[in-house]
Amino acid sequence: MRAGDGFREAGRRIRRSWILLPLLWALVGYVLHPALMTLAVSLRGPDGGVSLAGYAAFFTSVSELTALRNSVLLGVLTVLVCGVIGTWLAFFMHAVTFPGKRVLDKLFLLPMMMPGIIIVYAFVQLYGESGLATRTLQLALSLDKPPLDLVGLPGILTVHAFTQYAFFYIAVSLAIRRIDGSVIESARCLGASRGRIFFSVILPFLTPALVTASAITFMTGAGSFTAPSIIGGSYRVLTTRILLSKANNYLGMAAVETAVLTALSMVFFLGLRWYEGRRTFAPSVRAAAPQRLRIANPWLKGGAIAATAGLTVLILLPFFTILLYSFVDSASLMVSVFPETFTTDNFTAILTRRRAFAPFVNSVLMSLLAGFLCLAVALPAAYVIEKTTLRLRWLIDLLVTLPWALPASAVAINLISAAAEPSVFSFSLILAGSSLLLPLGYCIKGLPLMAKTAHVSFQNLNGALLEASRSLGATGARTFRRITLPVLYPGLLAGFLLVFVRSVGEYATSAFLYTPSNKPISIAMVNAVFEYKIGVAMAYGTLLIVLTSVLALVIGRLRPRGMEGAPAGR
Amino acid sequence: MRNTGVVKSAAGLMLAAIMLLCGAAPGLAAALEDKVVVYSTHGDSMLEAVADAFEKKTGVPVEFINLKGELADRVRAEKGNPQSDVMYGGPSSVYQKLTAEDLFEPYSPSWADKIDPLFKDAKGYWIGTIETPVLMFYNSEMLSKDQAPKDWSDLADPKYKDQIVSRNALSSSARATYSALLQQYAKKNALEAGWKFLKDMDANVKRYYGSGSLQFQAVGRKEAAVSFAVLNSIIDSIKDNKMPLEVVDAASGSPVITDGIALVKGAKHPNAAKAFIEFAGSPETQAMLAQKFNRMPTHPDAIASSPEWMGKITFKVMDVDWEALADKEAEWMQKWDMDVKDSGKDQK
Repeated sequence: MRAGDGFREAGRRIRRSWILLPLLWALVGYVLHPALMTLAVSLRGPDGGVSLAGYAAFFTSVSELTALRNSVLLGVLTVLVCGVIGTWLAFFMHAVTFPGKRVLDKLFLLPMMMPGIIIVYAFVQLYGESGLATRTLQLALSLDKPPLDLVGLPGILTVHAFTQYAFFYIAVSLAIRRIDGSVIESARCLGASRGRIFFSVILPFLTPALVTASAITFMTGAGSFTAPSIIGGSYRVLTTRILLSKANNYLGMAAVETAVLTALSMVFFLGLRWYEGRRTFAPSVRAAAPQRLRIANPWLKGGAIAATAGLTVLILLPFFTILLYSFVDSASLMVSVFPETFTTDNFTAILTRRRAFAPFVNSVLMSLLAGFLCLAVALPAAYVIEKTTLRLRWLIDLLVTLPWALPASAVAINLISAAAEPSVFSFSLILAGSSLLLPLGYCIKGLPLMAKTAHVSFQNLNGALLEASRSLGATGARTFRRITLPVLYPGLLAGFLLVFVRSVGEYATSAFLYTPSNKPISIAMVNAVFEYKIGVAMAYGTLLIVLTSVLALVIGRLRPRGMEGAPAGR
Repeated sequence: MRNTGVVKSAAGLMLAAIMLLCGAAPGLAAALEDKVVVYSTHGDSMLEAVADAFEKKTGVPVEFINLKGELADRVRAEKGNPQSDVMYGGPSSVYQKLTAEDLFEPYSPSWADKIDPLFKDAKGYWIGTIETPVLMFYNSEMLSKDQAPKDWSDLADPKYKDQIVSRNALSSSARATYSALLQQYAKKNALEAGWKFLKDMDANVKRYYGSGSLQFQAVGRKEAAVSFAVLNSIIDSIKDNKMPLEVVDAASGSPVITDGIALVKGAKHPNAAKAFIEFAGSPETQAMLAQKFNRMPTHPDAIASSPEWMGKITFKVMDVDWEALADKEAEWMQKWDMDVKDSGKDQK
């Protein structure tokens, strides 16, 4: 028997390496290679040799260092505010049941689907010096000066707080489910205080989710471009510096700035991972179903409901603005704050265009494709990272996170150069000009989202359960279908939805990779803004909100055959 | 009989096609390819109008993508395997940069001779089809003509503190304007005074916008009275969006950017591309763009038939050496962003 065991073990090892090969091939070709190209440019000296001159210039320039400090600060503050908002919402949605909860759950994903520029627009229309909310407050309180202005660090942070909480929300929502009710119960019986229970029982269960969400959110915050560019004012950050260096043809400096920003994100990520590694404990095999957390005290419950309602209003208000302004003439939006007449002209302008629906169809199809491609890469990646002891897993963990830390333009430009000639990474096809490039770009940018959500749900998968299934004689396929898939399903579905929703309105990668045959909705929207047709852009936004929400609800309800009873994905 | 007729006409078509392919058809140097791919900075509506007219004339469909700042980057990234045939729109400084990077193929359309040498490349790598003046403007409900600035130097006057909004340095019109202003000082060997002017002006600027719509909205909603932008945007805002704006004819002149067109090196549809350039810059098309989209022509014949308002809005042209500026713009704008922008303000 012993020999047989060894044999099986060896077989399993070989199978694992087979998973690794295509995975490494995809990650090296489409993630590592672009990152190294940027690094190489940043190290190119004036004479063409390797040189640190670019870095020396960076670290001795006051204004570059200010940008670096500001980016770090912005990233950290974004993690803090988004962490509080996302975690709070996740706990609340877990603890309280009410009609329409499923719809609200999907509405919380709305900020992810809008192109950044449209979101920032909506915020400016609300809280800017002559925004709807600002002027309403001013009138209501009869103030001389506008009480709000959306500018600088507070402005950027306001936008981030109500748009980038989504990853905390998803990750914590998934993690709450594996909190073991029996452990809380025993702690309570042993006389532990509420605070103690939270810090020593609940928090450890959430640590992996909080860590991954913090890493992702830090990169989103520090790497945010649109908000700093439009409302940043004098708050200088690295992302806007990168674009300007590029516009000024200081390509070496742009590469240095990009490398510093990427390194910063990766250091933050690795630091968190190290911390997590020290603290993680194995989840127990749950005998009892996880308990719903309940708020018993009516005062507390009322307060919690009020706080959440307030948050929800703040999150949805920009979308309400988009909805409202889509029925207002662009001309009146340019001069007056409060719309007086409403019209459907903006929708007519879109729907009477030649091939009016094409951008919607294109975006949906490409985003679905990106979601599936992501699944194909992220699933084995998360498995290797979480459930094997392979030496290469740290590398895979790093590689699936890297695309989030790289600016979209770096990923896209390298994808273009890689596609220009046949290579092993494109199956020896010339992909240049192909409509496949854009979904591929979406997939690469979405990879970290998918991998991290899968990572959180793999931690719900207890090895003992798989062992038990095997020893009861179930085949590998049966174990996968009956045990692995039902446990992973909510996480995979959530990841798929995140990638889908995010790709639908993605702008930065799209700008570089779209072709005349697959023009996405984000490009159509931003074009309307360039033509001073804010109303039309908002009408595109409204159509996008309706379309994506409906699709998200439908996808969220899908269950594979045989697991209709499985818990709903978020 | 009918059948043979069909056969005959099919044979005729074939023959015509073969003749076309061989270049035997008189008057046609080479057959046009089945499409032309245009990368452009122009808006959807204008591109659609040009594309429709071109297709109507030649039967060749135009596929286009339109971007702003990313366009040059994209043409550059696709150098190894170009996906575009024509680059249409964007300031001459960008064309000069891309010409130096060996991304264009020289081509001189039939109307090129009539274009002022100021608006084209001497070797034919690019040619200007649109003139884009950058003018100061103000909200006439906030300032009277007397109160409004008379020249660019007024923008540094403390009385306009927090009364000015501007595009940020990613906008090609703002870049051209800031560096053209600086060049005026440099020509007088007073570069330091130029930087001081830009710093004083920066102190008056209330907000730099990463978007033209928000910039115009800020003036429209009276957050600030004065700004500057390309003329066609100002006219669009006055005509389409009914904004109360007045244009300033700056005493020392206003910079006029040339919007170019060029044949991309290694284009997959070179003949159709040449036909498109020939068409897009022809006096007829230039006149159409002037009438419908408020774009100022470079071709004298088109200027003659331009809309009435163009005759009414007069402005002095700033004497800018665009070729010399192409070398300096990047360096100056890098310095502007690092040392000038918001230098006197607190970090909010």
